[in-house]
Amino acid sequence: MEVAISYILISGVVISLVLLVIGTAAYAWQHHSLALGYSLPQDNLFQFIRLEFSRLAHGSMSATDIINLGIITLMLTPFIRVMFSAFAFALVERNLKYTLFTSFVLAVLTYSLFLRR
Amino acid sequence: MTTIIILVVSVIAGLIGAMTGQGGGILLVPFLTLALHVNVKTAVAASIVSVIATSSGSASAYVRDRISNIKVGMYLEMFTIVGALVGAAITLASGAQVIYLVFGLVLLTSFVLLWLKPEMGETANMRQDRLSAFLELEGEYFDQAANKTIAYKGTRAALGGVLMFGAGLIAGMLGIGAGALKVLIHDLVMELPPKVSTTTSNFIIGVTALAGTSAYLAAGLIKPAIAVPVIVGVTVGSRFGTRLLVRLSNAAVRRFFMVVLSVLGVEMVLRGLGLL
Repeated sequence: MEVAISYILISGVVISLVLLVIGTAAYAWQHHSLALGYSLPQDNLFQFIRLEFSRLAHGSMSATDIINLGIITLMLTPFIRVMFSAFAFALVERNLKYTLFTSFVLAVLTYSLFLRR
Repeated sequence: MTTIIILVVSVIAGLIGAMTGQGGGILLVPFLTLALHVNVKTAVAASIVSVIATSSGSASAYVRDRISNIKVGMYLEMFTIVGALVGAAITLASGAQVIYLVFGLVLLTSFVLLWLKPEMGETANMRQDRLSAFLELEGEYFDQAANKTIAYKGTRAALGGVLMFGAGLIAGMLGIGAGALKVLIHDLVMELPPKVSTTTSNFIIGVTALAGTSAYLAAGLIKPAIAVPVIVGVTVGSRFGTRLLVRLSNAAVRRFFMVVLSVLGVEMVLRGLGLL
């Protein structure tokens, strides 16, 4: 379990950084400026992911899409990590207590991902 | 070119942060706000996203080496994560000056705590209260320095949980990992061995940061122009910082960091009081 978690964490960070750097370079190429002058949707992560994927589904792959994917990947990394722990405690270690604790954390995290202003 | 400047500042924050065993956040927000005049809430938001990157990066190594205790981490996370959401809500609802003031006080408190830092004990704690035993807060790890396997038990789970709520609150409010505070709770309150304290709290920090980040994202405070160079810079800076750390003397690094903490702390407080 520990080794898997370790891989989830490091891959998430590496993929995210690669996307951010490539995206920024692409942005600089397109806009002739390194200043990322665009805004993220003022909404929760769930909506952000939904919007981004619908853009990708329509064939868009601009610099901002790549950067946004980088941010999304980074934010999903701890989330996937906790989800994985929940499964590990439930199915591998069969530890009821910790499955419950981990599920609580996952529930709070999920709630935060759906927050609205 | 502001993006480059933000990147450089972030690398420096990450570098010093890693060298002193703190996260980059504690220096990053003061750097961004005092030196680069970034809006304080935007700085906090950018910082907390970067905390996900730095903590996940280092946590992966510790988890793999089996030093961090996932049960302790998950139990405490229940409290920390709620604290982080409350903290973020407080910041979103507060005026900038309050944030500066609290940040400055946290910096100065860190300075004092670092100054008074007691020596770490050698023998691992084996006394445990009933709640902690029920929660299975124990484990063992192989200590490379001592070249032996050390078994330990954590205790005072109830107090630890409550205090971790507070640590989460500060983390969510100021966009920092609050690692130092969390390590202190693991170490002094729950009596976990130092290496387990640092590695486990590191692992908690990333999840807590996500909760905070979500709140700031929903408030529209994550600006790519600031957040992206910050994330990249701090992560790169801390990678180099951990490498540099090996070559420098502990005392020198500590002293330098304490100077930085006190200077920034005073500036942030002054700004909070409207005097700067």
